[in-house]
Amino acid sequence: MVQVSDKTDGSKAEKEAFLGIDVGSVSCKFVLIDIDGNLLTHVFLRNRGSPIDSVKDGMAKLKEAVQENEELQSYTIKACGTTGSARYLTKAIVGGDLAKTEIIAHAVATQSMYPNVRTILEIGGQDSKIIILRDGIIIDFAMNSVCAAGTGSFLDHQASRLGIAIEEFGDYAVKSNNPLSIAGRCTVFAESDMIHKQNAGHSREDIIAGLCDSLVRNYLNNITKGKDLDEPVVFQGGVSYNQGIVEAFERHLGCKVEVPKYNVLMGALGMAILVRDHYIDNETETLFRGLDVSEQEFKTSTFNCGDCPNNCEIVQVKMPSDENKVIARWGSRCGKWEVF
Amino acid sequence: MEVSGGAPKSKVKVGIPRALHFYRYFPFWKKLLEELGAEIVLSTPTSKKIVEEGVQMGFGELCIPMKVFYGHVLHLIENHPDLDYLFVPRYVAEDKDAYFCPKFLSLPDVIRILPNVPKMLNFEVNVKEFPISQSVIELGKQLGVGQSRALESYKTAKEYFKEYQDFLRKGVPVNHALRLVQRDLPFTVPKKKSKGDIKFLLLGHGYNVCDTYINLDFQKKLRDQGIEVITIENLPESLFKVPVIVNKRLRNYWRHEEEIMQAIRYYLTKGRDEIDGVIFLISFACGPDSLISELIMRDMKVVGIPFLDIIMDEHSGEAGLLTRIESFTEMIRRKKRKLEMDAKKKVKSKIKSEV
Repeated sequence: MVQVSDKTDGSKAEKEAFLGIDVGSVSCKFVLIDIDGNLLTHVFLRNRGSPIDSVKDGMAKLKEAVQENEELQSYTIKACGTTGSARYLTKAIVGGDLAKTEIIAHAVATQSMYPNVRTILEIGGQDSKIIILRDGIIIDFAMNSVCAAGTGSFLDHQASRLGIAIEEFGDYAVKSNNPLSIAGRCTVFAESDMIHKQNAGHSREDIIAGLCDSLVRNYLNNITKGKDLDEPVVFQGGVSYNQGIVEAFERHLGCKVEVPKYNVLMGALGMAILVRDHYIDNETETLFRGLDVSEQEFKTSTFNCGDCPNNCEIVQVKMPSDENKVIARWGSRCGKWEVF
Repeated sequence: MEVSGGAPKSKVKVGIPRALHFYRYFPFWKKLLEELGAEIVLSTPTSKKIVEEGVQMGFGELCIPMKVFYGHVLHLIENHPDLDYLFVPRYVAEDKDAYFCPKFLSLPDVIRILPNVPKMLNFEVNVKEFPISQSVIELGKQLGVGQSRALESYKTAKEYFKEYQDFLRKGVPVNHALRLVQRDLPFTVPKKKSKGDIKFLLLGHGYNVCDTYINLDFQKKLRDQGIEVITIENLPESLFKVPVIVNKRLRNYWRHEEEIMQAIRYYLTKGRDEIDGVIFLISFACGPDSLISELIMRDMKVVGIPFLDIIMDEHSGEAGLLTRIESFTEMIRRKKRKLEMDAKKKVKSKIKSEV
């Protein structure tokens, strides 16, 4: 059993492990590393319901993975870090020691594998980003703002409309000899364009290849505008599984695009590395509640503040096992409810 | 008019929407109107209700600050039925070779047609056509004040406004200074809290940078991260005397945008090491800002100052904003730390080699 550091007698478990959790818009990633940064085990799952449920599910799976592996049982989780859009909520629930943004986590993970990386492309379930590095330092980044065109969710939707499993989507694109031109500016237009091309009798391969190409064009126009995309280029996030998109990027950038081995785990991996460094620098006792968090009950409730015309909707999370203590609260504009 | 001894005549009530040019000229307006004998009624700070009502009233293609302006006018109409006048000045040109955004030019006209709107005071600033003193005399007439007293009021208001601007140039946040103006308190510089380890220049129009509801209390979010924030109002007057020439054929002719470009020019050259990063707050659908944002981004790339543009509209999510701020700040801190460590290493190896 992986133990939490303060609950061990120190003799049995002496190997140190660090947990990184990345809760994104579509999926949840958990990565456990050792002190040297080697990946011990990981969990990947699609979000269901609230992020709280997803985190609990993930922790249960992680616990299973540990129970099945004797080697892992000799490790102690010394610190836990969270990232992704639900990083603060997750931090409150699992007892995280550190929360950082996806940008930093992704960059740190990629640098651990490609120390000279200068450009990181990341396309996930609902957002896409670019990170520019020079001499090992992040110097610029951008994220999509209002437009989610070309992210994983859209590809998912199109795959199911064409009757293809998302996993095979990229293979179809690679088989095309004659990629069609598909409007890439907006997913609404892209979809109607695709239907026209389908009805005109074009093959699925050519349509999908055209779509991949248009999405890459959209990404380059919307996200990377004005930035210098130098080699080495690393492409990660769920969409990097799609070979069609990878090849479209290589075509447009005119250089090799690397896809790391743990392409969908990079956020969680980076967070595990960050929290490891934090642990080494500070040697503080972890706040981590342990893998048994999966069995904990958390109650979320909402109420309207009503103290001013803004009438903010406040969300709070309570832990019934600990005298109904409030462990997180957010949603107030003035910030007064965040103190508890 | 002036009756001695009798009951004091109740003052003329003038409503001012707390939006748009309020963040720029309010101290001037307040002093001028009060000197002209009026009492000022301000709408409350922007709230959810104000935004919702304004968005309903404004048509789709307007920028959010313009919609918010509608909301403030509606708030005044609803909550202050006793208003004698509404003050929505028309700002066309403040100097000979620059204009305000076209939406400011037509502002009084689009407000005048709202239902139940009170009488409006006419006040136009257009120095290409006539001096401001002439507009002040016209304004005085509408309030029953003669020419010489109107000009005297103008002088007082101008002096007060100068004093206010000098106060801002000492590094005081605009919102703090505006609160002092509202309460008629003297301009004393607040004690500086501990300085942040990094310093950002926050660019943007006052109504974007200072409306804490619209920008999700952006400045506080930065300060919470331990960042020292300065805005263009805090910069020395001298920076704004040199016109910006993008290229010989392209002359920027928007007043606000010119100021933003002037501010940034200083940091491209002499002020290069005085700031750690630049953030430009832009409202969605702002034409002029979208143009200069591109120019600023290119300049920043050349000198290597980290630059972040943030586009806001009424659907702005808190999480997305926080992620950008945190990433930007963390990026700069990590860079600083790495450079410091590299410098230390250099010193160490130098000492070693000398030994």
